[in-house]
Amino acid sequence: MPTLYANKVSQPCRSLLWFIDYANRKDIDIRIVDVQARDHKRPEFLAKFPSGQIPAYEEGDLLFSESTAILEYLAHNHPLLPTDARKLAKLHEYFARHDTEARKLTTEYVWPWFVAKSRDEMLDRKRVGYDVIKPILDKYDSWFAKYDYVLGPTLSLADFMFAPEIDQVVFADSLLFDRFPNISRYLRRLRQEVTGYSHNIDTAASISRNMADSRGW
Amino acid sequence: MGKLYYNRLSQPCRSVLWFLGFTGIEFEKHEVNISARENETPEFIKLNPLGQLPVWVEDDFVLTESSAILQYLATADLRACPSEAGKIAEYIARHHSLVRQLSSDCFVPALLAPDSEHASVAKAKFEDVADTVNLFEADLSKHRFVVGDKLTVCDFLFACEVDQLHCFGLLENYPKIQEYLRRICEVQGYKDVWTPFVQALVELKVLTQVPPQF
Repeated sequence: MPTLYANKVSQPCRSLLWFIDYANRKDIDIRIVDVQARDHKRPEFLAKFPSGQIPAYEEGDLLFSESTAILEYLAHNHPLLPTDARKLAKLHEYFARHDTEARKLTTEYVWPWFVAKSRDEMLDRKRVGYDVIKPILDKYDSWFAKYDYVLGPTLSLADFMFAPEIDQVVFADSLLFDRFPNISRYLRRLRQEVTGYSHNIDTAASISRNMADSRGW
Repeated sequence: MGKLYYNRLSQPCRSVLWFLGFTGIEFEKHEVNISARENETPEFIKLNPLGQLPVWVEDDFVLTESSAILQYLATADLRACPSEAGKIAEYIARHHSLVRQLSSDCFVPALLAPDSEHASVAKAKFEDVADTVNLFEADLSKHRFVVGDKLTVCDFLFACEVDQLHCFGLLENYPKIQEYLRRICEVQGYKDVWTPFVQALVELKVLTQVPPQF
């Protein structure tokens, strides 16, 4: 049985878990990797996946990581993987840019405040991180004034990569999206219209709340 | 006929230029002078709001990102069968998050350094990317190309990152990468892009002479 090694705290893992739910891929065995126990750095895991990262995918002898690669592979023969060469090219263009744009919402804003060791440090990191991500939020808020989804008028695999990066920003500041009404509307649209999204974000929200509660500030 | 907007010093541009030479696809070349800020003109920004190169244009279809362009242009020969597709996509993701640092963290700082400091900056900055280079030295001792034993679009991306290090003699301790680059030299179209690249570096006085053979 093909296996996905994942953990719901990781945004790229959430992208894949959401797609697996959306596409009803009951054939995929989902193995939760305990990242806090550093299971992904153990020799058995590294022997298969030398980069020591999740998500990671195993299907017989085929072993690989990188969420965009796994997503495209999982979507083979699914209607959301374009067969038109130009539409596929636009998806690849988004994937190429994902790390330097949407992923920064997590690496520059959500993570830093999340791992802060005091309330003051958390507030400071949120301030610094916000300056980095504001241009990205502005860009996408303008985009969503014109288009319903990341690549245009229809849902695509790009939305599966994008949404789990941006929706967590609201865990840091629940009022943030009041400033970006079109992004808010986009996320509400996903909740209402796209199978699996509500469950995906709500699970992440509850993990995040538990982690925040355990810190007490 | 498609048009390519490019700059001969840019790795992603070289990758696409080389690939077009390899496949023999006809296209119009438009060189964009970055030091003259031609990528910041209103006309160019209209084409690509990010002001980046390369850009591939076919009528009203505008495509950026070298990896996307390569995959789009890939002929049947180089298109992966499903079992290889995952490994190719994995390399492409890693190219953006990891391999591109060979440019951003080492080669570009060296390029932009004051006169007579290019080589010393390259050597100093190499420490920041050595781990990545070590990874690929290990990989290339297991297979002939960057993904498996056959040439793929990934080689068009990877070779144009790692050959930059050869310009400053930084690959002396990497026999497998050197062997790989010798193999790449034999690939149709590679030298047609490498030669103008190193000649430009000599003209700009970034290098005192053209680098030796791989």
